[in-house]
Amino acid sequence: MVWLTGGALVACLVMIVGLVSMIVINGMRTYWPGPIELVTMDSGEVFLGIPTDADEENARTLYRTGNRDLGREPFRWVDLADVASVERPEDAILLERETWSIWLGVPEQAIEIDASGERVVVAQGSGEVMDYIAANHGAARARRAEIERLKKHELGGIHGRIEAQRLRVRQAELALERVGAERAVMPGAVFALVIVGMVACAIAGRTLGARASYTSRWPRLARVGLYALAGAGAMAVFLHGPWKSAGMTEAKLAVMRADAAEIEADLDVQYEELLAEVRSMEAVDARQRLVVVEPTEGRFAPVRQIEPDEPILLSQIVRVVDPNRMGLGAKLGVYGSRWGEFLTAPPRAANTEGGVLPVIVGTVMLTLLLTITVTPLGVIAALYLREYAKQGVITSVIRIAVNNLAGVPSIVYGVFGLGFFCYTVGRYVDAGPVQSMRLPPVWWWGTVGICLLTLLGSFACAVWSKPIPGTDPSRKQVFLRRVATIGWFVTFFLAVLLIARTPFFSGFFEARAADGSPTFGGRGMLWASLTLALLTLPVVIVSTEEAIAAVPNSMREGSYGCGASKWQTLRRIVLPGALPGILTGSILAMARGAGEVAPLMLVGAVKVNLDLPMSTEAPFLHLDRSFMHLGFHIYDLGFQSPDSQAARPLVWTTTLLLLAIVLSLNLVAVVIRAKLRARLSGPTV
Amino acid sequence: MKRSDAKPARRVSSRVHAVDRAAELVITGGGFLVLAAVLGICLYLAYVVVPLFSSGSHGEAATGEAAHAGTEMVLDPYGHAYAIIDDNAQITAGLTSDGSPIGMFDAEGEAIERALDPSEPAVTAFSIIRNGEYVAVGRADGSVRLGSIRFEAKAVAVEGEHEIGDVWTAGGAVYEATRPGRARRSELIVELGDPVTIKDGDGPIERLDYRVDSTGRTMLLAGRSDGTVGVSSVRTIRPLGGGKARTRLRSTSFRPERGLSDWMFVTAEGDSVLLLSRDGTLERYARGDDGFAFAERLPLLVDGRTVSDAGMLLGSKSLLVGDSEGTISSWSVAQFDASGASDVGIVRTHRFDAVDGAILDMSPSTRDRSVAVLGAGGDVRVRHATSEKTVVGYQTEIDRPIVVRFFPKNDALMVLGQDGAYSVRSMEPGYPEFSVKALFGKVHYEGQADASFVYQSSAGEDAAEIKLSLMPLIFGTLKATVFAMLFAVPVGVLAAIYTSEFLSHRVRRVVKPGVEMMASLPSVVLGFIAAMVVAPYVRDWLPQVLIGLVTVPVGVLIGAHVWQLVPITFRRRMGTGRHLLLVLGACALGVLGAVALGPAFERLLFAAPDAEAGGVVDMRRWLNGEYGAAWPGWFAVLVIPSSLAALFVNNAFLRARVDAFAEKTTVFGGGVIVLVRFVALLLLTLAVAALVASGLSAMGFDPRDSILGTFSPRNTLVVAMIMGFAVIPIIYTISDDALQAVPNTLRSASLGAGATQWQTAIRIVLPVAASGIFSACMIGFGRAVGETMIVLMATGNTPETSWNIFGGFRTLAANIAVELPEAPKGETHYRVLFLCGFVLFVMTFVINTTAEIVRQVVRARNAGL
Repeated sequence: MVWLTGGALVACLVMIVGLVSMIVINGMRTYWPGPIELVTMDSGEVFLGIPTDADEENARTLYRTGNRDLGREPFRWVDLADVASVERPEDAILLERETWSIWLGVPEQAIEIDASGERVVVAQGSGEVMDYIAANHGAARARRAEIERLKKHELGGIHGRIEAQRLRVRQAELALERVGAERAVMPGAVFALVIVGMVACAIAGRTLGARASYTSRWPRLARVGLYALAGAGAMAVFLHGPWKSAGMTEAKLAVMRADAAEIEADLDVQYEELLAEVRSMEAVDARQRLVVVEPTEGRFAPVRQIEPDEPILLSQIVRVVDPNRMGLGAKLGVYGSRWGEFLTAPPRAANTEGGVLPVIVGTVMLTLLLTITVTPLGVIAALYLREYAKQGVITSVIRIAVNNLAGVPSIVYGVFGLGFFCYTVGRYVDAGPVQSMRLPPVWWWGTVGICLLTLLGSFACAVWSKPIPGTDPSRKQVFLRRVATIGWFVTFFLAVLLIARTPFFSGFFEARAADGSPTFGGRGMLWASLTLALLTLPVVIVSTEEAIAAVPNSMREGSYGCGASKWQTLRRIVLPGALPGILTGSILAMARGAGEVAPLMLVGAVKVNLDLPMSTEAPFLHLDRSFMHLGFHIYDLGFQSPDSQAARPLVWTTTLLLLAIVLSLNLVAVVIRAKLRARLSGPTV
Repeated sequence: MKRSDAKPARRVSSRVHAVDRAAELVITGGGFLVLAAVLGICLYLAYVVVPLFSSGSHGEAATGEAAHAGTEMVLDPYGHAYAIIDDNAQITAGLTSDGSPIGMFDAEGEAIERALDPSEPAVTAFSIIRNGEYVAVGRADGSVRLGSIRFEAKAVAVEGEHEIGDVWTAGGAVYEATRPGRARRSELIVELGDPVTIKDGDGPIERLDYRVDSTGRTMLLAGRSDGTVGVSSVRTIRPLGGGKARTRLRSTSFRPERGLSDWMFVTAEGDSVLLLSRDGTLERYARGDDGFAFAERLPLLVDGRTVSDAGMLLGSKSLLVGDSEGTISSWSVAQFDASGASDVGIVRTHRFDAVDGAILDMSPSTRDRSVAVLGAGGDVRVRHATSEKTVVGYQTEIDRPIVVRFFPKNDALMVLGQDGAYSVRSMEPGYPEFSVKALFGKVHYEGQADASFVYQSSAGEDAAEIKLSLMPLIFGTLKATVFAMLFAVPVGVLAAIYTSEFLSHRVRRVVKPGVEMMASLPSVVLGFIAAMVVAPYVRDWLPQVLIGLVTVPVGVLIGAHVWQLVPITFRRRMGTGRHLLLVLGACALGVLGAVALGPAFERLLFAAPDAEAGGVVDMRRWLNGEYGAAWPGWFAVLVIPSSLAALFVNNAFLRARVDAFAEKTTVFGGGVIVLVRFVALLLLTLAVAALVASGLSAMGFDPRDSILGTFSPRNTLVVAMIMGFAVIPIIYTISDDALQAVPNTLRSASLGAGATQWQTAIRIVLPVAASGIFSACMIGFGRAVGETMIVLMATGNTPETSWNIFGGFRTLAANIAVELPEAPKGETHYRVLFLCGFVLFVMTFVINTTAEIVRQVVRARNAGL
């Protein structure tokens, strides 16, 4: 029976080792350039293919034949029994193209088209063509990259500015429509009165000063009340001040429209100029052509599938590989360059080729944002639970709840994130509260008043519930403390209500929302990272709490003994001592967040979005954008791809990458934890 | 600077005080908010879900006097008027009694005349669907005009001063001012095609039924006074260059035995005609190769009730019958068996009491499967015909109500009185498809032979009904979890026992983090491996995989018994690390055994008898039920329980005697005896399994209906293996911690009393740690319940309800992932998906809390050890 238990352990270990090594092997071998074989079938059919898989049981081989433009399947199972001969021609090459996947063939000519449209053969035969490619390919690619940059950044930028003008006008139109329902403006006298009152309140509050003591509680209450009144006054001035009369009018709108039209006309001219430049560059680009012939039908790689008589542009080719002639060094070079492309280039051909740069950027940014959000929140919650809250039934219930939340399925967080962050909070940011939710201003100000009263009330209860140091609280004080707690909650919910139903806010991106294209009201980076932060919060709370608890009490007492305040003790003694634990928690949260996919499917990860969430255009961080994510990319490539077989290699490499990131993060966490344990088990202070 | 006048021993600067106070405020407030936010998730989910459970609501009534007061509206033979309402509820239209004119009136009751040509023959029958989008009018001369009588609203510019919201009538249209200078103009558009003649039969058209399905296919039933019924498919041809559309009918006619019935309906496909008489007799005529023929007759009502109104629900698949006692029943043509058309018959899908007293009028909604009912006592009820939910109910204030109608957007109800009074009430239907019964109970959907659990959330067309039973999803979740746990619990717990009790510290320090690393593997990676690597492998090597589940543990056990034969001095010298390698070797032997035995196993058990399928050997075809007897399946299933039985036999009767006997001989001899015992038990296991299996199959049970069945490539077995793999580390780690927490004094005492290590582990350590291991399993269970990506990727995600281990399923989590991205915000579907999330939340919360409480209780109990 001992053996059976051992067998179970061995099974675990075998499974994990097998799984990881399978991913590593498959991921690593993907980019190794395989030989190109010229297969002659018994039927006389001839084709070029790269053997990619063998099925020994049925004696057949899977060839990747590429050349999808010819309307053939890019992969083909070949029964070895039907094969007449297999050879590896020296001059067979593999073209990795920007579109339509790979092309296998033999290079015959390099052509340049001169100014009169004549085709001039500049290189003939395999060797010469390869030399021509070596000499010109880099320049051609650079030119193409420049064209792409112009198209995307310059032309796209102009487009964006035109759109911005349109949105500005739309915004003004919306403002005009609202003008009828616009709030009343304060009469001058009232305005002056409010200003004076506000200043008076502030000064009075200041004068009352911080005479905080256990005997003089009234001044403290009065001071808070005065400050709150001053704040309310400031809000009133801001929301109803005289400048609010300068609302939108027809005349202003007309000026704005004319303005926008002028700018747009300007931009149109610029657009045309740029376009002409792009066109001329494209014309130059179209001159260099390659004729690469495949043996089955004798066709060459076309520039586009619909133009089979035009040979492919040199610049359309990403990489030329001639594996049958290459030595080990050259193969290593290709291998390295493919990995380089994988890590630094955006995807092409419906994600099935090219790199995963936007995916990496998306994942990294998401993980960083989530860590930045979750660490302070988790630490604050843990500090509260461990250092401030009174240990009792409530804290242990909260602890059970937090532990439970670690076990709540991630998809549930996704559902919450979608409903709450994207659709509720995001919508609010975009367009303010829904019309029917808005309170009439009178009601709203009434609620502000009630909110002030509850604030004062709970503050008073809190002040009067504090016992004199060194004495036990009386029953009255305990009662007051409870009332204060309830009061704080009521105040908080009133404040939330005030924000949620304010009639004074119409959103930051009203125009776009009115067009039906939400900015923050849809799925995006910000909401995804917040959702994941919520998801990983229990991890950080639990590990921080453990770390704080592990800081010996003697150190705290020493600190207090030296006269440090509670915060000083926390900041100088407890937090540094707990730092490794906090770090472990954050890293574990990062690892969990990086590997999580299910909630992201709901709150922001998308198939393709080449607009990175980070760019050189203001505002640099585009947290409203949806993003690509490694985990989702794997799912997408493996299951939603139009050509899943061609995407298979990329799935393996992406998986390897994700695994490497997650496992190394975990490893770091394990190491830090080990160090922490070693330190704590060593001699303590 | 101000100073505190409390009395600290030394002066503390107020800045320190302020910072301290601020820190306390921020941390307390922040901490509370963070925790509140975390708990708020549950509340928010509930907040989205709760509206589903509320019924609809209705507003105040607006009443008035309609324009046709004084004239009588045209009524069908049962006093039901033709009445339609426009989107903004400003116009209604009806046919009035002298035959042809169509009257309309605005909200103020002012009549606007729009007449058909009075010279044409009188209207004798009509059929109207989708609020007038499709209208058929039958006439005395036996011709039918098809077309539409509907409303059209558009924004127009108007002159003159109007307050926003003003309504006025001009030129046969109703205007409502929307913005300065703009108004919405609503008018009645009458487009009727040329009369088409129904060829067969004679006399005026007396019954008409018009059906249009979502693809635009139209069927027309026309009954003429001589008793001929013509069923025509309608095709409208629009000439390419414009011009007048022509309508072509392709008719089949027949004469029902009992003449025209009171109500006649044709189904949307046009393959059945339903004839309903006032006494409740329903006859169905089915289309055969040579026209319609009588198919069945059944009485719909009992104890003297009569039919007061009947109509087809949206989608034209269900016939609603309202009777004289206020009860509504719905009837649908169902296929009892997929095999043949002969098994088609009418079944009752629902029956509920709608109003007190007789039903005066029923009006099916054009948006969903709701029906508005008007009772004789003036009761107005809106019921959903599938969920049977009462959406809205109130008492109308009209004196002699005759008609109830939904507004086109389902947002208001109108009741018309005999004398032209009308009342309009706005209503908010809420979520009519949804009821607790529809979610968790069996529901009889139209077109189905009986009630069932079905989940089918997207109804792309009218004909398809939304089916929202959560049971298939909950079932799928449990199925996936149970099978995964069957795999994960033994492996995880046994591995933990070995790690904790038998492994040296040095090896343990490497092994444990290694297994824990498994936990951090992203589930999307596991899902990908499951679908792309494991699933094809299982498909191609099914017998080997199945037999491997047996041979690997057997191989390990044989290895253990053989190890007993090795001289003890040599055994002592082995470290645990090398010992593990030996076990690995035994596992490998087990795998090899599986590979070698697989084909033989398949041939032995799952080969077809020659006569039936030509000697095919293919387990997957056996699973499909194409051939073969039931017993091999039972045998395969029963091996595990019978091995447990053998273990019990061993423990209860054999072990002590054999051990006593073995001790008398040499060590080697004892080993041989124990090995023999093991082999004997193995044979016993197989024999018992075979015996019981043949017994069960002789009794006629076949496992292929329940836990075995049709093989689909992405199946439960694959998910069980990979999801098991995903939860093993959790079970393993927590179990290991629980075992480690058992005080060493107990172990020492046991070992000191002469127990072996194994005896100590099983009899002493395991019982003490049992609750910890239980809670480990619960937490693993909770994790498996919510696992999304693996299930999403490695199954077909079909919401079925069978325990078939080779079939698919759909879990709550996967369902959310598949459907939520497309669900429109705020609609029933969206909220039902939130409900899925809520159910998931509650399930895991209960599981985890149970685990946590067990752990805490036991920790308290064990504190004394």
